[in-house]
Amino acid sequence: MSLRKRVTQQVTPVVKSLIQSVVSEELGTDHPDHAQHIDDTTTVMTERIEMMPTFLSMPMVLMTAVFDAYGVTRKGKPFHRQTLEQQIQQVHQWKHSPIGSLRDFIDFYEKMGTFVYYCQLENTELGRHE
Amino acid sequence: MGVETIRCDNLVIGSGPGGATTACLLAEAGYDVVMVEEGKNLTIKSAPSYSLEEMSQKYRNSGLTPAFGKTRITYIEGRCVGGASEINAALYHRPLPQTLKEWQLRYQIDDFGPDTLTPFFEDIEKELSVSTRPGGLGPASKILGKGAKKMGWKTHEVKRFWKFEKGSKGTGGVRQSMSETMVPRALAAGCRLHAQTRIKKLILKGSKAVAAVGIHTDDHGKRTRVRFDFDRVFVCTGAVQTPTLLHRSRITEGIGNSLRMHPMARIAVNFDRPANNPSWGVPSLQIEEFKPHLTLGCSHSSLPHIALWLTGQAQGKREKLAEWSNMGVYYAAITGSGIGSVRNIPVIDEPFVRFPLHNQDLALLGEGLYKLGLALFEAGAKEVFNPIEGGPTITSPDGLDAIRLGIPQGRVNVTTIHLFSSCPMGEDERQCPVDSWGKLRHVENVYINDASILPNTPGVNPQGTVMAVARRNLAHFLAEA
Repeated sequence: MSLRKRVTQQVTPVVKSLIQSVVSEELGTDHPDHAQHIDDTTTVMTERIEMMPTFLSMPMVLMTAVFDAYGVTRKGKPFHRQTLEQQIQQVHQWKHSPIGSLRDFIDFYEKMGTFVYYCQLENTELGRHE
Repeated sequence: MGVETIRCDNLVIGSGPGGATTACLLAEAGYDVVMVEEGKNLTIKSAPSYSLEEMSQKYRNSGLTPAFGKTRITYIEGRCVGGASEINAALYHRPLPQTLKEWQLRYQIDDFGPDTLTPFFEDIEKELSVSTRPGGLGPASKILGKGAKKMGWKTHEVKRFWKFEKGSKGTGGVRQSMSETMVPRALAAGCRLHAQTRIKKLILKGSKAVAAVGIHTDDHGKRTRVRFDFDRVFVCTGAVQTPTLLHRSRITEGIGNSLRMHPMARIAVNFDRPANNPSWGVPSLQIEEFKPHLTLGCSHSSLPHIALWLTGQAQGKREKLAEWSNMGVYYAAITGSGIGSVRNIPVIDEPFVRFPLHNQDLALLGEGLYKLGLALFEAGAKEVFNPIEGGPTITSPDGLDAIRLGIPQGRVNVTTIHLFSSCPMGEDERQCPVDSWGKLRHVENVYINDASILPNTPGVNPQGTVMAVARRNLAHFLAEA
């Protein structure tokens, strides 16, 4: 396993929580395959982070880890161990931050996460109709 | 790790529209040719178009490659046998005659212009089945056409590199990408293809390049060092990778200083009635009233793509997406006035791309999206989702003024797949690191034959121009040899 893959895997629970919070807020959680789609989206997103150019991939992993740790300063526990409600609050805080790189970080997860989630949804729907 | 050494007379690095054309014509003229490609050798049907699988298989870095500036631009490069021709919209244009004339004068290109290039365009149109869809326009194009007609604007159904089945609707038939056309022809003529092989650098001896060294990675991840010894090399890896490879090879004079592109912004639109059918592929109608500086058209509009363009823009997105077949995604593309740069980042050996999207470019993109919105409201749009992050949904033509009055830097998603001009050709040595035929100055046997040498923005989908210029340069090379 490559070093990049190993490093990225360290933040997989945070990636999953981020996906869960950005997708659930906008799209709800009541789709029958929601949990499965979140898992699949997380897998694809971690692969995407690994496949980024090195000069983006490593900062993205680092930023994800920092985002997780920031939760400790806010709620006393890392982001990925917070409740969904708390997670959504933290996402909002970074999304509306005056610091551009924090907004960009959330923007990446929102856009790519939504795109990948809907790809999973589309695949499921197509599978049902086949 | 041992080194495998391969000897050839002509090495072609890259297998996209420039590289595949170069390798094919050289091989068919009886030359000994090896073509090297970093990505895999896949069939055109190995993954559905615009799917996640396709992005993983055929896009460099899965499509997550940014050009840095005040507004970041996501650019896309193909990384597979066939390069960009495997993943683009397969739209074909000849550039406007005045564009070619302007290039000739401004860059002092010998024997260049619309008349010189016409026979090469004609060959491409015949050999790659350039044609319009026999079943007519798809729903998204019809809507755009209706709006443009009401505005009194000229439209144009763009031809495609496509072999359509007779009477087919949608995208029946086969895209005439390089893996379907020039690559098989090259192989049939004796060209040897080395896929999954990344060239790290060219080895120079005095004023000549003598070899290229790189790494081959097999399907199981096993890496082998390779060295290609050659008489001459054609570098055809595209407007970003070509200058990066040359920089890694310590060939830097005038290289990578003049990157240009067609920046593109999009809007998602809700019509409250069926407006979309992804099985038609990329809709091929464009508004050409404002060409070459501004082109308006329709984008691929599958559910995930519509969801992507709605992100952060709309309240109640879930409810809206339940009726996604009533929506479409439309684009405005401009000939950016900025000049960017491509550099190699040492140690990690990846390109770093900068491109300034000037305020005047953002204003033109805003103007384009505004015009697009006007036409689409005329055609019955109910909602235009604001392309400016955080902006309200627009429900009437008056609301479009917010876009027209200016898009702030960094607040809109800008993408491109059209990159060129990082090593422009011509006799004006101050601007052009390669001569009028793609030969690099200062190194005897290195040629560039891809989008890098287009001296400026063509203002149209560039694959046809890249291939026509590559053919022209090869014809000159073969005549001189």
